[in-house]
Amino acid sequence: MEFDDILEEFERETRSHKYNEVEVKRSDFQELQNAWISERMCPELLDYKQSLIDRILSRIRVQIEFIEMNSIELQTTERDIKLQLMIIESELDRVNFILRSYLRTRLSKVDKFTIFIRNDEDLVQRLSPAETQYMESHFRALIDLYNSLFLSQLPEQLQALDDTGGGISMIEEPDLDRPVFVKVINDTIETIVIGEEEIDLIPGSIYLIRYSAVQRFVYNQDVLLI
Amino acid sequence: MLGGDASQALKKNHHHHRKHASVLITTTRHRAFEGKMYGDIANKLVVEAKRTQSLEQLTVFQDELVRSIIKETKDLAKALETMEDDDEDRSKLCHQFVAHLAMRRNKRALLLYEKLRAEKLDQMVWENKELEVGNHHELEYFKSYSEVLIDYKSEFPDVDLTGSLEPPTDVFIDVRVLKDAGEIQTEYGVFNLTKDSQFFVRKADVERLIQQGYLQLIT
Repeated sequence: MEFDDILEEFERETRSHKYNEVEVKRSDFQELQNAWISERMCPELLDYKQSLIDRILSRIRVQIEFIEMNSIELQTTERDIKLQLMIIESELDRVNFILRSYLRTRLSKVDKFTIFIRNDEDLVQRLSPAETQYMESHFRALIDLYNSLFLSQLPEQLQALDDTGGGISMIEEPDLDRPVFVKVINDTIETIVIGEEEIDLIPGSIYLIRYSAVQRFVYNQDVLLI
Repeated sequence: MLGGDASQALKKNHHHHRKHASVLITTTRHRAFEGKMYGDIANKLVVEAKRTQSLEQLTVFQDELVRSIIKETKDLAKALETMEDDDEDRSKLCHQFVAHLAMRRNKRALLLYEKLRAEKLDQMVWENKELEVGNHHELEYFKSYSEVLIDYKSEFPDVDLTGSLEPPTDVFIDVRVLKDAGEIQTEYGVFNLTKDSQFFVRKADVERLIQQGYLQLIT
């Protein structure tokens, strides 16, 4: 359990129950949207939001059960509920889309940077168990394919897939110097230095800046990728 | 993943090819190669890869080209083995250098070609399409990746991961049936999808059928 989860649990117990539940749902949805946008805009793979996704998934389950229960009644007598069901369906559709886009954006980065990620234990830690499983099995299948088609028939010194010699690296890495848009949330105190220039990040402002310069602020969420 | 993205690799390949050409002229005197240069076949494969990149369908696997490239690479390796190292003989050093470059380039061409094909295969698995062309090994890969995806998706039974990546608009849509698709059961009743009929249905229920070409969206 992470520090934030403990805090949240504490809050959940202390605040008045009903009010709290609505608040948590709302902030979770906001958090999911932020996680999704960040993942899409970020050149590298970010941490997997395990506890957030788990909470969202369990709420999706509840909504689906609600629809299933009530749509049976719909065919018999109760007709008033139709509008409510449509609203829930729309909401589900939207959450579903964001989740789908979030997860698939991550998978495409996992596919693109497989060898780079596998070479660094810290990066592997950013993956969910299912993503790690996906990466390993997909990588194995690809190696089998290359080997059976040609790689195993080539001279031994040419069989590596992670060769970096000869001026061309075979390992694809994320471009951390890519420019990104960020919105500053908290006062970051530190001044960013790029070459001769010094930049103070002012809360509430939006900057276009190279990712590597604000990477650590993205990690601790002092700035948001937009 | 394997050595830069595809377009980058293509560019690098072309670049390399030009760079070799001038060196090769001096070495072909020693080794007549039926008037061809090392890497010519690999270049054909790269061109083929580039051509098929924009195509919707997977094309037939270039078995013969791939085999000739493997053979050329093996021959070059054999020639290198039999050559004695001699730091004094500049033309021999040059010959070795070119052979090494040609071998590495051949490998890159092979990987590039198959990487692009594998990406297309992945995409077909996601889109739930059947594999019609492709060789035995690619079929194996296709099956393995399908299983990888089934495993991953089973973690999210309530999220339709194969659904559209366009943001949703309407929950319910009008569709026309293009091909008989039998009966489908939804939470809003049973629909009998016979050709030319029209329905007002929940989009998520029929998305798969639209992808497969059974239904058409009426706007």
